[in-house]
Amino acid sequence: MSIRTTFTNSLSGVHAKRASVAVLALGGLCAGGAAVLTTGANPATAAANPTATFAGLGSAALDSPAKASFALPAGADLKAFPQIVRAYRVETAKVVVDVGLGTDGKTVCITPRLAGATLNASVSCIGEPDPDKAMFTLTRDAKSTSVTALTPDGISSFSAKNADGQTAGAIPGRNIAVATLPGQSAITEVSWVTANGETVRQPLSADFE
Amino acid sequence: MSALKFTRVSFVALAASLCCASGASAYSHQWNPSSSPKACNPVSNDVRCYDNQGTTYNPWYGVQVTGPSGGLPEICAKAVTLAGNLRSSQSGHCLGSGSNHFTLHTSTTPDSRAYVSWSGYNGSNALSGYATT
Repeated sequence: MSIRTTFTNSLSGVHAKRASVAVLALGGLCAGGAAVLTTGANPATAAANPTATFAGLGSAALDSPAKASFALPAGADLKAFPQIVRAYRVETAKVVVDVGLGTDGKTVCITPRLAGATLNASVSCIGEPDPDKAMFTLTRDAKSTSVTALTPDGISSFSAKNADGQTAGAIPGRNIAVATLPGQSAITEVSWVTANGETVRQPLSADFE
Repeated sequence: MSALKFTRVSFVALAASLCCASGASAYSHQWNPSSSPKACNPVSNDVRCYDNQGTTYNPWYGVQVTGPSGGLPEICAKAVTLAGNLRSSQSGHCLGSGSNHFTLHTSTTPDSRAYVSWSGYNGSNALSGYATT
């Protein structure tokens, strides 16, 4: 079973596909290889992409221990975060991630933290997930930088590149991919492969830290 | 064995939650298009929208940014000290392709000033900021 989400906001919940069509066509004609899209277009000028699904949430327990972690900042009186109705945990060598579904049935949140840490370091959500977009954030320790990505069903790989030119890739499992790079250099670009086989590249600003 | 460990970790996390939540006399600021004075509407890309409520510098435990529900390429929630140093966190202060990000700091000192921002294309958006001790 999978959870299906639907866009309702034509302005903010839209996808950069229209703006990418020309790039895709040009890339296909000139390179003759795999399509590569680059995000960064104003969503208001792009066409809507209706649904995103997360199989991991479909099989999640209604009230697993992972759900408790979303309550961690509750004393901080969070604003605009939904109540979590189901959640599950993904553990990797570097990062432990809890994934939760909001009561509205479409908002998906993650709380990545360093493996072994007992406190959350952040909570991140997407209100209207796009099936072709990975949501991602960083986690750092003294020796490495990890990019944790929430990947809708169909996204088959996720990669990160740092300012030193190093890259790391990860295959999503239960809608989570964690790409870990050595050191603390800035992450300059992330990319992922969509269900259509398109490689989406997203350059990151110097302030993304 | 692993289940036991899992339970222990969860218990510690929950205990920490209860510990910190009990200090519920949290002081907070919220700044957005509906606040007084209004803030963050519109916010151009790569421009900081600073907390404009009450006392400027506070022992912020966490800062939150909320953008459009469809997400923005990058949204960030940060705080800087009077000396201009970014408050540290084990996690990133920014979120890619998301709509809501809450950064928890590793400590509440020294006092800092909170701000939110977004990036990814040339344009403007409305943001909401929230900071709490």
